Formats: sequence, C-alpha cells, structure tokens
Amino acid sequence: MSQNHHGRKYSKQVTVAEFFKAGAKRLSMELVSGKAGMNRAIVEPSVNRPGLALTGFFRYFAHKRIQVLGHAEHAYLFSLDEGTRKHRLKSVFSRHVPCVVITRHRKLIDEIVSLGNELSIPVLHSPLITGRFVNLATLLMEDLQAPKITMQGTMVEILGAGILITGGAGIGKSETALTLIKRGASLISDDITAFRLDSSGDVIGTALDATRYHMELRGLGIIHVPSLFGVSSVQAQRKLDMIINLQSVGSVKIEPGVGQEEKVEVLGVSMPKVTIPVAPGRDIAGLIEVAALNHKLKRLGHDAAKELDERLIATTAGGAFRRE
Amino acid sequence: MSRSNSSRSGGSIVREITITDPTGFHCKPAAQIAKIALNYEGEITVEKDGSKVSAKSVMGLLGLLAVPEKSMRFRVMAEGPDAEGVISKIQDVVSGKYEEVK
Repeated sequence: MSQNHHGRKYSKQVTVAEFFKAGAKRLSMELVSGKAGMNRAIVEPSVNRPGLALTGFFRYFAHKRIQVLGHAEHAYLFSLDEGTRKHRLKSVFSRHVPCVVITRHRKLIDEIVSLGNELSIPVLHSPLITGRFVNLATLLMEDLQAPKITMQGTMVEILGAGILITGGAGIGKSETALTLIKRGASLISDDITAFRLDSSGDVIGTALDATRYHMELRGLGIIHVPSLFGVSSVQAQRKLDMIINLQSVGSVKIEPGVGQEEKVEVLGVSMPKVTIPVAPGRDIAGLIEVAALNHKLKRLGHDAAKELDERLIATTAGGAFRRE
Repeated sequence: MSRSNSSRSGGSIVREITITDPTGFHCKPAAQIAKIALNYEGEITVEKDGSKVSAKSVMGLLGLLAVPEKSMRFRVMAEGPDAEGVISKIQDVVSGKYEEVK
C-alpha cells in the first residue's frame, strides 16, 4: 500500500565538511588549511575553547568538539615564546580534534595554518565575535545532529495547529490543503514534509528546499502559493501537532467516533492521528478545521467526548439530568 | 548519461541510478516519472540519503532529487508486475531517452 511512505529515521555523525557546508554562509566561515581532513567526524556536537589545553593541562580536554580559538586564546599564544607556542599548539592538534576555528579578523598564526595541513585537521576562519560564533555553531550542530525523517504528506498550519495531511496518491491532500489556505490556513509543505526533532522535544516540519512554497495540483500543474495567495499563506516551518489521514470510504472500515484518539509515533514523539473517510460531497477541509479546533480545545483541558460521557454517567447513575 | 546496477530483493526490484546530466533533475523528468508511477499497478519508491518518497509524487521527486549536486545517485524500487520494465522506463527518463507513448 502507498498510504504511508515513512522514510528512515537517522541520527548520524556530522562531518566537518557537512558543518562547513551548512554554516559557510551563516557563520561566514572559510577554509584556511587542512582540507584533507574535511571528512573527520565531529563526535560531540558542541564547541570548546581550548584555553586550559593550551596551557598544557589536558585532563578532561573535550577533544571531540569543534575547537574555537578566540581573542583570549590568541592573546595567550602570543604571550608564549615561539618554541613553546609551537609545542602547545601541536599538542592540541595531535589529540585528533575534528577542526579548529579562528574567530574575528586577525592575522592567522603561521603555526596553526601549517599544523592544519600537516595533520590534516581543517582550520576554519570566521570573522564573527567568538561568543556569537559559539552560540550559532552550537545551534547549527544541534540542527545537523537532530533526528530527521521525511514523510509523505502535506503540512498546513490551521488556527495555530500544525497538521500533516496524509493519504494515498490522488486522494486529495493538496486540494484539501488548497481549500484550507483559501480559508486562512498556511502551507508549510506540499506532498512531502521533512521533520526534525528539536532540542525541546518538538517535532518541526518543513519543506524540502527545491519545492518550498510550491504545490502540485492534478490538472493544473505546479503553483507558487505566496504569489497567488500572499505571503501569509506560507510558513517556513511549524511544530507538528496532529496527523490527519485521508482514506477513501471503501478502503477502510471507520468505527463510529466517540473520541478515542489513535496515536502514532513520529521521531519518538506521540502524535494524535485522526482518520477521515473521503467521499464525494464531504467537506474534508471543514472537518480538518474542526479537528484542529477540537485539538486546541483538548489542550486547554476540555475533552468534549469525555465530558459528554461523564455527564451521561452522572445522569444514569443519579437518575436525573444535572442542569447547569 | 546514467549508469545502473540492479538487484532482486524479494518480489521487488531495486536499481541504483546515477544522474550525470549537467542540468540535473527538474520538472519534466519528475512529471514523466510520476505519470509512469501513477499508471503502474504496483508501487514505485525512490530513495536517497535515507529518505523515501513515492514516485507518484512530483513534489516528492523534486524535493528529493532536485538538489545542487554534480553527480547524484538514488535508488528506485519497483514492486508489482513487470517491475523490470517499469524501472527501465524510469532509467530512460533519467538518461533523456524516454519517449512518451501517446
């Protein structure tokens, strides 16, 4: 069946090349030397300032992280005589650090450049202030290492809820999304959505780069959504709150609903999943809007099905209908 | 031009296809592949870097394959009748040799 093409979940080790490629622009990085080591893995997705290591103290040296040499490290290195400086730098480099980053506009120390080439450890340069570089690089590494998955489905944001619409080819995912967009929802991604788990445990959905903000509609072809419906009709990314699965009426038996919610796991996070039977004449977009509203209501602590049930039980047990 | 290796796994066929076309992968081949997949009785899946999409989805194909890489490899899996034939058609689309039968 083609109902759900779930991609493989992976949380892989990031190489220096991937870090460099993803951050070249954001961190204004350029490669200075040590190109041969670009495939080194950044085992710990974090940043370290090797101040203590440069003084010769290597206990608990976080050598698996990106090593950043900022203002303070440089000032210290310049306070050393040439022989000691060379020796200390070599001790740091030879502990198999993944890469070394020099921050700020400064004249590069020759020893660092040549050690990079000699030991095949990439030396990168970024003009950013060290603190800012450390913050941005940490965020970037978290992003790169986050568990990811691609799922077949169209993602929209309706009334503050991020909803993934799934279902087989031709069931009308994009057409339904289009109706929702016309009623004020915004598109995150059409037909295929990339998800990543962020550090706070939210599943964040986004489009793949090539097709961002585009939709494919059978018969019409590809449309550019913000050109037709304005910039408020799209969003770059959104937290996933719920999955709505469209099924043709004939293909599944849908149980009469009394509110038991099905759950599915996306990147290890439990998501409510609602299956809506699709048949000619049913207002699918309207049903999805109600599902989104109902989901919000539940988050506020109201569960309509549960409340009705409680009221009915109170009625049958107490013999009288309790009036508010 | 493209190279490929195919192998049998279960009742389905998997083939690795390389795109070396300098213009890369774009809308026309995506639409052609989606059309082939929609008309096929079985299932065709495309996989790259651990992400899988149904070949029926133009947006999926573009999202996965329209990336700025010079030489790109991806896997096609077909499951159903004449899987070999349908994969060859997709191979032809990628190599620019596919002629649509009207």
